[in-house]
Amino acid sequence: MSKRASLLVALSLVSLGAACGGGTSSAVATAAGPSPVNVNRLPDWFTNVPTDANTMYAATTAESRDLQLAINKAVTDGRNNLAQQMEVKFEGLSKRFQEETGLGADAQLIDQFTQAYKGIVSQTINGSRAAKQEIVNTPAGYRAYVLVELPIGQASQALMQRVRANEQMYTRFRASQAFDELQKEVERYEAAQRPRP
Amino acid sequence: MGARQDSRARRSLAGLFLFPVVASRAVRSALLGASVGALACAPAMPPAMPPAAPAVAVPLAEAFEYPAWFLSPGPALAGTVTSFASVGLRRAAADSVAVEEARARIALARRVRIELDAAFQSGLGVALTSQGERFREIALSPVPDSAWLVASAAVRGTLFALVAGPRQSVEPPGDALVPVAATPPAWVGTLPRGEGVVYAVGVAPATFREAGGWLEAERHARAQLAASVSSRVRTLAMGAGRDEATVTTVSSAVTLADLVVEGRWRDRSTCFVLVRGRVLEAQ
Repeated sequence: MSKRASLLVALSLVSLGAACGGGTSSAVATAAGPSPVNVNRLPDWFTNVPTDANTMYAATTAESRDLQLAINKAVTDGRNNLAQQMEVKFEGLSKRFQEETGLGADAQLIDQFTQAYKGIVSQTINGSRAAKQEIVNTPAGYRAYVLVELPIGQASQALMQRVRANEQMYTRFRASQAFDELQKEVERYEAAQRPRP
Repeated sequence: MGARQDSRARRSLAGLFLFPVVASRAVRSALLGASVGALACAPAMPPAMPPAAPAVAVPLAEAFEYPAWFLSPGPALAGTVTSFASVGLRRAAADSVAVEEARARIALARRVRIELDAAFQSGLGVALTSQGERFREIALSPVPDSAWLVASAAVRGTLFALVAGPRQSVEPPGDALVPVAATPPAWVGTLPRGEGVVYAVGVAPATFREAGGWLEAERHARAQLAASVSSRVRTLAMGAGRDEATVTTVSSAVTLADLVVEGRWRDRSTCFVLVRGRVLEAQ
C-alpha cells in the first residue's frame, strides 16, 4: 500500500508540475516576469513628443503577442505618421507658393509642383529612425512604444532637386518666401551632414 | 478494515492527483478570459498604466554569462562575425562547423542587398495585429575561400565562435565568460548616432538553444536597418471606430556595407542586438 501511495503522490506532483508548466508561449513570456527595460508608466517622450526645427517626430505604439510584430507595427505606424506630416507641410508650402507667385491660374505649374512633393512624400521615408523604444509586458503580450524621427532637411533637399530640375518652376519659385524657407532647411541639413573637423 | 482504509486512501490520493489538473484548467480559463477581455477592450491609445508584473527574482548577472567579445565586440574586432555550433559535436568538429557557417556570414556582412516586404493587418476593435513578411538578403561580395577561428567558448550547450576572414589580422580576445549587465545598456532604449553610418536594434525572444534567439535578433536588426534607410509605407483603412480594419504595407530595398554587431544584451526572455552599417544604395 505504501508503495502505491508513494507512486500516487509522485504522480500527483508530476501532474502538478506539468499543469503549471503548460500554456502558450505568450502566456509563459508574460508570466516570466518583466523585462528590466519595462516601466510601469508611459515614456516621457511618448506623452511629450520632442519638437525640433530640423526634425519631425512621431510617437506611436502597438500591441501584439509577438514582440517583433509589436515593434515592427509601431515603427511602421510612426513612418506612416511622418509621411502624413510631410504631406501636410508640403501642402502648406504649395499653397504659399501659389499665393506668393499668383500662380492660381497656372494650373499646370501648380500641378507639377504638387507632383514633385507627392513623389517626395511617397518616397522619402528615407533616413527615418526609431530613435527611442520601450517595451512593456501586458496581459495580451507586449506593447511597444517608439519614437520615430525624420530629418526634415533630407526631404526638403529632395524637393529642391525636383524643383530645380524644372526650369520654369524653379524660376517662378525662386522669387518666393516659400523658396527661402525651403532653401534654409536644405542648408541647415547640408551643414549638419558635413563632417566635423 | 484494512481494505476500507486502503480504498479511502486511494480515493483521497486520486483526489490529490486530479486536483492540480482541474485547478490548472480553472486558472487557465480565468487567465484566458481576462486576456481576451483585455484584448477586446483594448483602446487605440495605450492604457495609462500598464499592469505591474512581478519583480525579477534572480539577478540577471547570476543567470547568464557570455564571452566579453560576444557582448561587446569592440572596434578591434570589426570585420569578424560570430557563428554558432552545437557542442554535442566533438570540439574540433564544432569549431569547423562554426567556421564553415561563418564564411557566408562574412560575405553578407561585407556587402549585402536587403529586400523587405511586410504587411500588417489589424482591426475590428482588436489591438492585435498579424504580419506577413518577405525578407531576403543577397550577399554582393564573394564568400571567402577560408576563414579562421579567433576565439570560441561553450555556453549552455552552444559553441560561440568568433571568426575572421582569411587575410584579416585580429588579436585574439580573452575567452573568459562575463555576466550580462543587470541593467540594459543605453542603446536598448535610445539608438546611437554615428557619422556616415546607420544603427538599428533588433529583438527576439530568447530560445532554449542559444543561437536561435541571437540570430533572430540580429536578423531583425538588419531588417530594421533596411527599413530605416528606405521605407515605402502604404495603408488601406476600412470602416471606422471599433469596426475599423487596416492593412499597412512597408517595403524596402537597400544595399548596405560593413555590417557590424556593436553590442548584445539580454534579459530573462529577450535578446537585443545593436547593428551598425553603411548605406551604399537606397531605393
